[in-house]
Amino acid sequence: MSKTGFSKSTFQSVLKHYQGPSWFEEIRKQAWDSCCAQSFPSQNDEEWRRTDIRAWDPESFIPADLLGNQKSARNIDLDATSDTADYGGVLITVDGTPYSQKPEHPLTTDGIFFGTLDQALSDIPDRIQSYLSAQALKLNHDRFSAMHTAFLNGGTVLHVPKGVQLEVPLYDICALASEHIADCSHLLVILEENASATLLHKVVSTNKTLPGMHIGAVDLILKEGSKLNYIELQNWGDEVWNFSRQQALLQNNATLQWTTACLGSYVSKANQEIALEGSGAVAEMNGIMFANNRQHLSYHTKQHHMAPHTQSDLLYAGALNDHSRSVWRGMIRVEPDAQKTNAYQRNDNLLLSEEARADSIPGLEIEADDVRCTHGATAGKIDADQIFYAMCRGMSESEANLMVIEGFFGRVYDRVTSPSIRHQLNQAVADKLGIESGSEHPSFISESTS
Amino acid sequence: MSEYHKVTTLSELPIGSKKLIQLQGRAIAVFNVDGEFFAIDDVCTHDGGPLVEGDLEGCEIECPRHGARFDVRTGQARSMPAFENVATHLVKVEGNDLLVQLSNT
Repeated sequence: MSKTGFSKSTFQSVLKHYQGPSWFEEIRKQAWDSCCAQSFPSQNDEEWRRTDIRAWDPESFIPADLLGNQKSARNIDLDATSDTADYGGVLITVDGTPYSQKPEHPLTTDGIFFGTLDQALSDIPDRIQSYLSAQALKLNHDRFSAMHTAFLNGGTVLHVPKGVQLEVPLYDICALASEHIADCSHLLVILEENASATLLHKVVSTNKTLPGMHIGAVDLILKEGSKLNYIELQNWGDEVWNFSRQQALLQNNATLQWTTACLGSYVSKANQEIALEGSGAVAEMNGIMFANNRQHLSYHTKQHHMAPHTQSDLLYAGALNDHSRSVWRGMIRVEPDAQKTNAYQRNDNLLLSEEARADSIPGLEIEADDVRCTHGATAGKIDADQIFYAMCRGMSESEANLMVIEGFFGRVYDRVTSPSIRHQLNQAVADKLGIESGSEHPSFISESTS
Repeated sequence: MSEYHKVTTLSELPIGSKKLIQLQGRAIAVFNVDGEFFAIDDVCTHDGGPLVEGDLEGCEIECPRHGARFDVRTGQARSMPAFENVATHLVKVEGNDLLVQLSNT
């Protein structure tokens, strides 16, 4: 199929295929107008100063919705993601189209909904409409946000009703399997009062060399007293441009543990924001970034304290090899009413080559006068003596590197309580270093059973 | 070893001019200095600035952000705040076409 880009006629073709509710179609039309009214950011914008997208050509992609008849011809190899036995529900989407789903019906007897966005729009529109129209889809953030909404090609919705505790983790996989596809999927998680859940969201390319693009968004809504453990494993192929806007809203006494593993893509630019809107809300943001070759990973985080007695704790660790580059720009924002805020942010970087580069830019904006806000950032080279020591004892150089990198990421891994999810993170890092799956020692970190 | 790719025509790059090209996901700046052609990464090694938007004086390009200067022939950093050289790429002319071969650095 020929590349279409994102012209007006492309948008009209996408709308022609659209079969969802009219109110949502109206939102998409507004998004298209917003998209036309804005230009793409340039390096003159402070936020994009260190992220160069001049070599990105949107015209060389085709929205997933227009893949048409080619969908049936896809040769899908998801072996790498078949380790799904430990999960209570698994949803796999390929090129924006549902591929498989367990359980088959998204709505369970407990009232929990875990299914595609299209299913949610048809089955539980009253539960999600207000979020999609008011909170979830911010049209004017920038042109990427508007493009995301205009060309939205589905996504995943998790809704957990009041008081329901989901003990077993859920697993959502979003894959790219065709060349030059632009995936604009959306993840919406809503936990009602005192509900709890664990969700692993994995984005992956079935072939590492497929050119592709992802303009995605994640919205996590935590009502009063709810508790969410959200893990994102980003493992796109080496030629994927990844743009993502992610946000969490926490009401009174809600607790969020948000873990990000950023391994794949050619260029990634992600904005992650937690808004602590309710008193007593607690959020923990953990991240690992591991880049090689010419990868560029840019994460912009914001811990937004809007209510008193709120806590946030951010820890991002990056390991960079070859000519790769990372940018972490973190902001702790404390509003005047958010007294007794306790906020921390830290970014550590391990440089594995002379040419790798890490930019860490922590920031504080504090308008309250009775708070505790601290931050830190470090960058350092890998210790050659440690590698030498390990190699003297029979390890290959890549195994020795893995051991040091795992030790470095250990503080983040330690915060992930699910052994199966921790194993997935470990394995993804090992795979990237070229250490085969199932080898004698895929991980040097023991699996904690606590 | 990567191959040569046509990136522009000579008529689009007169003497004393510069141009941004996109090649295999990278931003590359090409220059015509007194009839000789050169190609470098269009990324300042100090702060990642777009060099092609700066002034070309002789064989030196000045970064528009903080004034670091690089020799476009060798990639050598000529003045602070940059102190690391910028990557250079091989160029050749075929007829009216300018071709660039990306280096791995």
